Amino acid sequence: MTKPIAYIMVLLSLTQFVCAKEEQRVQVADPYIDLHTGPGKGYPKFYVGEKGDWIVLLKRRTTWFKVRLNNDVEGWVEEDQLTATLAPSGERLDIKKLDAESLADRHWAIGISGGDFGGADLVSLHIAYVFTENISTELTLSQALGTFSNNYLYDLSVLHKAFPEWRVSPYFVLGGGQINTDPDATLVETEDRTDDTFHVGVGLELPMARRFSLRLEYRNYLALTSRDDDEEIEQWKLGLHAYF
Amino acid sequence: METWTARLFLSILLSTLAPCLAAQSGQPVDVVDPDLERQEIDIDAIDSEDFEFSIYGGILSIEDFGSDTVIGARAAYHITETLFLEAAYGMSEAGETSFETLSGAAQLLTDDERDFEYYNLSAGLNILPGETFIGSSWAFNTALYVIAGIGSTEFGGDEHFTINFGAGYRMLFNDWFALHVDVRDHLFDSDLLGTEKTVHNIELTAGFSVFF
Repeated sequence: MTKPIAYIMVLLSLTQFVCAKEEQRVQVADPYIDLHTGPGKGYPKFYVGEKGDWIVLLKRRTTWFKVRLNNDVEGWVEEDQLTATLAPSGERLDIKKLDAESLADRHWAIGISGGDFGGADLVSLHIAYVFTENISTELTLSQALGTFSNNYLYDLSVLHKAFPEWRVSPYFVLGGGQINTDPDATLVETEDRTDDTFHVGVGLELPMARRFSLRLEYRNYLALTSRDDDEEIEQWKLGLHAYF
Repeated sequence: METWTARLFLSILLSTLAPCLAAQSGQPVDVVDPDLERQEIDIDAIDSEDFEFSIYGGILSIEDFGSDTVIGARAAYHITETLFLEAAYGMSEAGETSFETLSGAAQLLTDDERDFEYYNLSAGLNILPGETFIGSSWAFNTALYVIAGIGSTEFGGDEHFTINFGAGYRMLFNDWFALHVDVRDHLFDSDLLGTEKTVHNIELTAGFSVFF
């Protein structure tokens, strides 16, 4: 067998593996389910499924499930209407508990934020991995656009939530990274430079809905420059943080 | 003798309990169905389609530099039915200012500096969800959304902090394939023509997206 064909075979088998998801068939345990034409409350209800009906869970989008009834009617049902159906056998779960459990299962999060970095405008994107409800780690890419220079920041941080049970949860940040400074082309003696940085910070996380929260954060950066003095820079940012 | 007393005792017991037993066993009431079969569901095995990737093209009006074609790509993550986060990257190339065209030879920018590139991180809200009907047998889900965000624009040899906002229309042909029409304004401060001012760069685009 020639190499390209082998590659294609491997790829095909991989897609088979990825696509071969077991059909999730379940009996409705909730009193009834409303089928909407789309994954949102604003899309009209066009059908009602009864308790005891068998449904196939086809796919999800945000908090909506696409289901197929026995008579081949397909529609979107909100998660809230499937709490008893989706709960493990014999158990009756309330929505809050289900939420808390599903959030505990979510290990990845992304976020965007904007703010101020030593007087420059900050744009920031981060991806986080949540180890426990207390500890998570974050990789942050930021750009700070100032009048005289343009900075790129690459940070790896550890976050610690001391009181995860609080509604507004404070957290501490500790980490390090690099800062790349690109001075304005119109200035004399321009030279790109890259310095190592350390940062400490504090933040507040305010949950807005089931899967996302608002974050306000302050970080104090120490840039280990090659010049005589190290540079201390303050960063403020406000952003959205979503779990998936 | 003993059996007689036992029989008598039992018959009395039965006669007193009989109506009660009959009521219980006569017609079973379905309070709990013991035969209800419950299947363990693996929710994680259900395909979730919260990410959306799109490519788009259109016209970007670069303030003072005319209108030119723009192409770009966007990636979105849908958090709830209403809220989504989006990252976008687009590029265009600026034309000439009226001054450059009229004067003939004078050039304000080099070719490299005419490249207009931007990226942004935005949050969008799906408002006005609904259905649109084409003919009598086709119905498609639609949504109008508003979006705003921040980012950076590289133009004229400099990078500028950029605010973008706008609105868009999404029409889904099926569960995972959609058509987008978007209008966005990209605002940043520029001193390219001498004095510093806020420039508006209005973009009109259309594109296709897939959910995965």
